[in-house]
Parts: sequence; C-alpha cells; structure tokens
Amino acid sequence: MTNDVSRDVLSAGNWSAGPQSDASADDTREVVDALFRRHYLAMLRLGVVMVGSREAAEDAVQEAFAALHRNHQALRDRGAAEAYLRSAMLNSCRSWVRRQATQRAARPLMLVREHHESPEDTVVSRDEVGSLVAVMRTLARRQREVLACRFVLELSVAETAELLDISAGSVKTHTHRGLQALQQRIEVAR
Amino acid sequence: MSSIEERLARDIEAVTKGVIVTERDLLDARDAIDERVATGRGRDRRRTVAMVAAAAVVVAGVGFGAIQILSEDNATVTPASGGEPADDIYADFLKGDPPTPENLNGFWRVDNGGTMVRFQTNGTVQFSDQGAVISDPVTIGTYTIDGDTIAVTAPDAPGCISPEFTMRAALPEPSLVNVVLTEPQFGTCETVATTIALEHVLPDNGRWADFTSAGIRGWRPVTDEKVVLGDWMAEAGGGYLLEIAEDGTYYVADDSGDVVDNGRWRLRESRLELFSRTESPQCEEGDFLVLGNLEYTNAETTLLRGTVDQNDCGGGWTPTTWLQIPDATSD
Repeated sequence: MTNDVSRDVLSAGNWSAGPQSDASADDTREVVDALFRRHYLAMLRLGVVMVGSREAAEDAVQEAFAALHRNHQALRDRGAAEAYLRSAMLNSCRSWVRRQATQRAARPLMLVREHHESPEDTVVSRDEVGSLVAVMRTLARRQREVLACRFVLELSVAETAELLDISAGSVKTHTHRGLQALQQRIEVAR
Repeated sequence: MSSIEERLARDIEAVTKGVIVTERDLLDARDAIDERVATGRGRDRRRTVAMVAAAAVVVAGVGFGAIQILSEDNATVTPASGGEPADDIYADFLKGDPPTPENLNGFWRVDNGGTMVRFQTNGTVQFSDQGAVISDPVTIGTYTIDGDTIAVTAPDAPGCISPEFTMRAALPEPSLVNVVLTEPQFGTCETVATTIALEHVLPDNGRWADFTSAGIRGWRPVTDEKVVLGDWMAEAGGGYLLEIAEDGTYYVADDSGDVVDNGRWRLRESRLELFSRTESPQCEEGDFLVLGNLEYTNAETTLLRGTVDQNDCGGGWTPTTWLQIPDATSD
C-alpha cells in the first residue's frame, strides 16, 4: 500500500519490484526487526491517539511495518525507512478512519453521543483522560496529523513538514488552527 | 506554550502512558506482520476483532472519554464509555415524523450555525457553510431515505467530508429536523457534535413569523460589496431566501424550495441592483429590482434593509429587511 507521502520516500531510492534474494531478504528482516523493536511502542501510541482504539491501532502499526517490509529495498537508508514507517503509519490510520466512515454509512448507527449524559457525567468526562485527544480526532485531517506529529511524535516543524510533504508555514498554520479549533470546541462543550 | 497546548500535551501523555506493550504483545505483533508480508494482504486475524470492537467503541472523536486503557496483562479493549448498541440512545432525540423527500424539501440551516442544507424532492442535497448553498455549494450529493435513515452519496465531496455518510433524522415539528450524524467529519469538518438540529428556512412554516428588526440599532450605509454576500432570509417569515454570490450572481428561492429568480447583481452607492437573466424562472431578462438606501447592522445579528426603488418583475421578494444566515467563516 503506497500513498502520496510514502511514494515520495520510495522515489528517493531505487525501486525494485522483483523478488528479493535471500541475502536482501535477511537484510530486510534485520532492519525491520531493529525498527520494530525501536519504534513499535511509539507507533502504537501514535495509532491509539489517532484512531482511539487499541486493536485498530495495532492493526495500523502492523500494516505499516508490513508495508515497510515489502518496500524496504527501495529505501535509500535507515533514515528513509523511519520516515517511511511514520508516513505509512499515518496513512494506515487515515485508511482506518475512512473504512470506518464507509462501514458506518452501511449500517445503523452505533455511536455514543454526549447529549444524553447528565451534567454531572459531562463534568466527569470533560476532565477524563483522553477527552481532549478525542476532540483532536475530530479536527480536519491535516490539523490532527500535524498535531499528532508535533505532540505525539514530538517532531519539529521542519520534520513535520518533511513527513507530511507540506511547507513549514503550513505546519504552523495547521498547528495554530488545530489548537484554536480545540479551544473553541472545549469552550462549546462547556 | 499556550494553555491549550499544555492541556493537549498532558492529555496525550496520559493517553499514551496507558498504552503498554508486553513481550507477548510484541511477539504477536511480529507474527502478525510476518503473516501480512507472507500473504501480501493487509488483513489478519485481528482485523475482525478490531472491526467488531470498533463498532461498539466510540472512535474518531465522537463523544468524550473514549480512550482505551490497557492493563499490562490484558490485551483487550476497555472503552471508558459506551459499548452498548446505541439503538435506543437517540430515541428521545429522534421522536417525530420520519423524513421524507416532501418534508425535507427546501432550505435548512444548522441551528445556531452557519451551515445551510438544501434538500430537493428530486433526490439531491447540497451543503454550504460559505453562504452559497445555491450558487456554489461545498458539496452536492444525492440522498435516499430508508426509515429514519438518510444515506448521502457525494462522490466529489472535497476535503474531509466523507463521500458517503448516513444521518438518522426525525421531524418533531414540520420546521425542525433532528439529525444524528454518523460521520463526525461532516460539512466543514469542524463539527464535534454528533447530533444537530436543522431549522427550516424555506418553507418557514411560521417559525420566523415573530422575527422582526424592530428596535435593532446600529444601521450603517452599505458601501462594501462584501457586506451583501451570502444567504439572506426575509424577515418575519417572508418566505424568501436571497443568495448574493461572490461571482456576481444572485438567486431568489421561495417557499416551494425552488429558485424563482436569478441574475446578476451590483452595488452602487448603497443601491443594490438585481438584474434578472434569461434563465430566471419568473422574471424577464433585464428586469431590475433595486433596493436603495441600503443599510446594514451587525449590532445584534446581521441585517440588511433598503427601500424598493424599482421592481420590474413585480415579484414578492421585496421585504423591508433581510436576516443574514451567519457565515461560520466570518466568526
């Protein structure tokens, strides 16, 4: 599964669609293993923040690592592999959200809304762990991805810009607007 | 760092700290990845579990407190809230007549919001949060109704609007439709609410009869074209919607929900001139409707008023005052 961002990363290397030799397969496995040990937890946490479900996040992480495994030979270096992994992870989360939207469209609603909560419940949930993260998930795609890069992956503006293939100015704009929207929404919720 | 940044950072930290991975989890995950690579497919045995869980868990930001906390020795999800099939959760909210193409027909505005929705009996639906629901809707789609569920298909929906989404709806009264959205990234993608109320703008069904501009102050002459852009509703339930578009066109719709006049507009020294075109359904090409001494106020809500200096077509859409349907982007 490729996408706009990961395609950029892939294009930087020498893409080979042919079968891997045993040696290159071993190399791939070694690199993926190393990245898996180093980044699995961080990617899982990113996934949980982005999609709100542990299982779905695991699914997204596995797909991202599988994509890395399949495409590793095309990447120019370990840095590119890490970038590929992150962008693949964001894309997996994005795809998951899209699938959910499609599935919801095809079935009766199974969502919970806060309007039936008592005022007391609302006060509790407002300060509950994850309440602001839940609101973050409702932001426009770019805003939530930029905020995830900045606050979950703790990337710099420049790193975020490179990962999402947008300008540094756009990163700042999306960050500002995303935070502003968060602020407005929690004010409305109160 | 601003307060909201600090709060978000703290909340993310709290959420991510709750995500703990055991050795067993790592082994399972690594196996699953190998399986995906071997089969070349993205699906694995966990997918089914994930989908089933997802159906019962509030995800994508609908509602608060939907994060899962995983204990060290437990690899299952425990949603903080929800989990029950939600069939009954909206029962009170969705009391009323089921939606039909006939009772949905016309123009609706999101209660206290800037988004306009237009349903037509021919099965089309249009949305705009830019005051351009007729001239340049953000989304044009088709809808079908099955019971209380409205399924919308808008393949060319831009940005974060889903190309397909459903809404459950009921009309507790003819001029009000309560809607439960299934896709939170709906419309402007800025909405967190899952439930919204839509108020009928046209036909007004008497909802706006008491609305008048009496006593509202702060009137100023209109000299800037930007002031007149957007959707305007005739005061006191006048039964007309006037849309003045940035591209120089205007549209007038009446209680039928259909456009009854359209053409070009211009503003000259506080005179708003509406010039009908050949395609105008009820007026002749060249008919002028001129509103002189055009004034506006946004002291309480945004209103536009003028004197009818010329009305060649003789159409009834000449109320003294128009109420602007707020444009969310100007907030």
